Amino acid sequence: MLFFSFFKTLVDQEVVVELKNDIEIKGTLQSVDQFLNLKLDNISCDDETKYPHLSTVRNIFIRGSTVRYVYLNKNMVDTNLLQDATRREAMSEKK
Amino acid sequence: MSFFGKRSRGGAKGRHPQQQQGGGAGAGAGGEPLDFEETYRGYGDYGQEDGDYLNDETFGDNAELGNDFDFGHGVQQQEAVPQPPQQQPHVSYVQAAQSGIHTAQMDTSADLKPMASLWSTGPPAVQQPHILSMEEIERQQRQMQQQGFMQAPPPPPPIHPMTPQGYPVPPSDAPYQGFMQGPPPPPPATAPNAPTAPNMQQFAPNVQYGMPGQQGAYPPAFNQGAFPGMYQASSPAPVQPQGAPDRGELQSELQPQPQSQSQSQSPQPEREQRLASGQPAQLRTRLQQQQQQQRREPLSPEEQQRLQVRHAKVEKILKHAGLMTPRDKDFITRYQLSQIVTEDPYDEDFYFQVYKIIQRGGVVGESNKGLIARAYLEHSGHRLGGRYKRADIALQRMQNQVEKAVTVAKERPQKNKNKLEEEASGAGGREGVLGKVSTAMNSKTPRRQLQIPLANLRSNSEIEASELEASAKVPTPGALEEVTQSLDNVEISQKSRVRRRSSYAFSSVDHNSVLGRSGGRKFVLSLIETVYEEVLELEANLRSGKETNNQKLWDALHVNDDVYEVCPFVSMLTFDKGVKIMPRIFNFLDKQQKLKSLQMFFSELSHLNIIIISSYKTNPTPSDAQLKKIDLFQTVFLKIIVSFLSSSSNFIEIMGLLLHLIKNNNVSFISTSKIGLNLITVLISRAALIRQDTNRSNVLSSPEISTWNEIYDKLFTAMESKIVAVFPPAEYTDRVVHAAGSTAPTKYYDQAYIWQFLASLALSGKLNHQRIIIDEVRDEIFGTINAAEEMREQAKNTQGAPADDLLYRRDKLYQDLNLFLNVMGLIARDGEIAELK
Amino acid sequence: MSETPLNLLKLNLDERVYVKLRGARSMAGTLQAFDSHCNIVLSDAVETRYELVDGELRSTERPSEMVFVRGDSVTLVTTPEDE
Repeated sequence: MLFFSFFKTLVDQEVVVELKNDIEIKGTLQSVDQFLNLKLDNISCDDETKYPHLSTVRNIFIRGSTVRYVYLNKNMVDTNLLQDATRREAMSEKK
Repeated sequence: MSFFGKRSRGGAKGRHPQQQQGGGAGAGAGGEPLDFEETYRGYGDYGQEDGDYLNDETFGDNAELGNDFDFGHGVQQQEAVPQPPQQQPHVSYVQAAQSGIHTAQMDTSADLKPMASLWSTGPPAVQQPHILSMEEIERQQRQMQQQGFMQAPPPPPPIHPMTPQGYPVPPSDAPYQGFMQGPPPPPPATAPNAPTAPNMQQFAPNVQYGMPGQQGAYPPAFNQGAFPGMYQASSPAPVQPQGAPDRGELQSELQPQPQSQSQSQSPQPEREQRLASGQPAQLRTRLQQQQQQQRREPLSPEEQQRLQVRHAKVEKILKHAGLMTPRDKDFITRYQLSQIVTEDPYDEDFYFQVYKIIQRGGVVGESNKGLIARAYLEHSGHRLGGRYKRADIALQRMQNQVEKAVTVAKERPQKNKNKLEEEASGAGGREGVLGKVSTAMNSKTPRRQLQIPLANLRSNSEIEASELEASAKVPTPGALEEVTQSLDNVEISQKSRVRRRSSYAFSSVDHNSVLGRSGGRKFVLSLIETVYEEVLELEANLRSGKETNNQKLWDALHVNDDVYEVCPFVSMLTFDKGVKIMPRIFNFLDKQQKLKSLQMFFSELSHLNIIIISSYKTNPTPSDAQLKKIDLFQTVFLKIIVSFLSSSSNFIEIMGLLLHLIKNNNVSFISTSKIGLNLITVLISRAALIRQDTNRSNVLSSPEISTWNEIYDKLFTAMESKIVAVFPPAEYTDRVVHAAGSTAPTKYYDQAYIWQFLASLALSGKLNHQRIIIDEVRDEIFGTINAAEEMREQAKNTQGAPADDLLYRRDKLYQDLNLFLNVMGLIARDGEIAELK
Repeated sequence: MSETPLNLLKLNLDERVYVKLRGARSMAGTLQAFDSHCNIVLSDAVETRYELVDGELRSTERPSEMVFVRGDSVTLVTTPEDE
């Protein structure tokens, strides 16, 4: 649940999602579920000419398994807290 | 409102049991018969539903479907139409449909267009097991943001969807529509975010348990769980007469349905209750009654057609009715629950919970979970240690300490000062002042005046060359011996003496060489992670009020571990995460343990990676990453030391730490590193403050004072003739200033820390010490004065902000320099040095 | 501490790691988070993509200050400076 928890803190933030088919979509993270499916709002596509089918879409549902990367800004993440959360998760799995 | 038509309908069904629950849980928690008149009295008054202007958009009409996806939209409607109606009276959907017609007759003005998206082609009755839909999660997130984390939401105005006034839905979809609608949008107080997210607003009410005052009836796990609304939304109970009796409580309420049938006929709210939970027998009877009622009233052809359509849909649904027994459903629901709800949702959602509290700056959060998260923050020192928010505190405290000591010294009548004044008198020019000092010193040959046994007078190079030998022969006069022995084995063991080397021997910047001598990188990293585990566990115990036993943590720190050449505790500080955890470790150590750790730390300072990378000698061109490391260390670890020294250590302990530093390290090397110099400053300025304080009350014993003098002499001897080496060369300072990652807002190298060191050194010394210091750093003093005057010249030729900046920097240079000069009763201003008045 | 693979990953929390990925990519950065699916968050990361252009191996780099890498793309994680 670590990353579900993590992504929930990113709701309402602007992120860039790179999919496994190389499409890159920028948008405001609207919601996330525990499969890390993502909903993005106000999306824009870096290369609209390459992906014209996305140019008229405002918001989008992304199946989590198609995601390759999610690019974030540093100030969105509390790294010390995140490391602690990772350790807690690892500890609870060990038990 | 949904990604897929199917899901949307699932949601509608999902709410079915919720309402069941909503009605049942409140009234019948004790298993008593429900009195619906009682339960719903007055609720209809709220039924105007003024706020449901979004319903059309959501549920049909000619509404645009807004921004959301509805992949199932429009397809199924055509398929559904030609199906002949089939009555299967055992099933509540039929009944639901009937009631729908019935209601529509009461409200013919309603728009009758069905909502196509509610009907998909797939097999409808058995809902796929799913965990949480996007809507549910959104809703939940929204709710959590609005309401604090775990607080149960205040109940919405109690409007039942089936109240006659508030029921403007088309007949064909009536039952579902009713469920979909739920209560109207929440009152503004509960939905501050609603305007920005209308779709969320529509869902928000569904999370809230339908009726007021019933929350107490839920088991705590559900009330406080991270997933309110989950249960209702995901329970696969679209059709079955008994709803989804997943919980015994619910079941017990549902089984006894004591109402008479005549009651159920009236178009009153409780019908829905019946609908959802009634027994088959009742349903059948009711159905017949409704059919009769229906026949009595004439149907227009349009309505008939619609009825047919609806029957067709119902029929499709019914194909799968009864596929699962209540027990099956119960099993599935339990399974789903087990995947979502844990014993401790706070644990599972740790990052989110704490992050949100940090972001809010710790406001409100009345709930228990909020308190826990805050407790985490307090106990972990997270925000102080990790987030750089109070980056300068340690340094500021050190600076204050030095300044305070200097101020006290200024107030104190000094023989030294008088002598200096004599020497300075008549010589107004700066060359004059210092020139005289210098000649005076030379003529008096101050080194002879040092009260140090001859054995200590060997040159520093000799000491470096044979440090081992020197340490063995360190003379310990009676007083010093006495104090050091009381210092809990200040004398280093034979073993560690063997370990000790001249710092230059392993001054490699590559930290692997140091790590290699304390078990290897992986070993040290695993120690750090073990320490983290212990700390997290101790913090958890502290939060829950359990006893905190730090023995395991202390063992994990390996402070007294002699097995390795370099103490693993010191090696842990090689890693950023090892530094960051230190404040949290110190929270759990007692005073003796802290003291031991610091003794070890000061003993092995030369092995400390941070000293090596912050010395211009061993690392003339530090990388951005290294400068960041230095910053981090300064912020986090120096602070620990400053606060330990100023809050809980006494004079003897400070002397002990200084002794550890001097005896086991090459002081002149350590003083070429900013961190090292700061560490020495912290110790000697604190000692000076204590001496000043105790001067008044005469607490210090004479052995203590003489021991201090011995230690100071040793320190001074180690640094003598190399004092000027504390000033890094220009190439180094340029590199630091122009580092891309530099956190300093200034565009020049701040030498304040050096003057603070010199001030503290001079403060504790006698006149001859002060003269030597001045003599050695004279060039730097004049260099600083010249630089300050140049800035003034430049400022004359510039205007506006740059000029202000230059003047500010000039003042700063004088300020820093004067901190040192004031100790000797001097002050530099306007390019000249005068005596302090 | 037991030597499970994930524990080895844990040792490198807050340290630089090198992550090899599907599709001729790799990523180097500071490990901030991971889970049992090998989902990873890296800070100060640099992604390297390798391509064959006319039989010649070319690589392009792309820096990012913070990036989430979905675990199913990850093929291996190691430290840049191995002992």
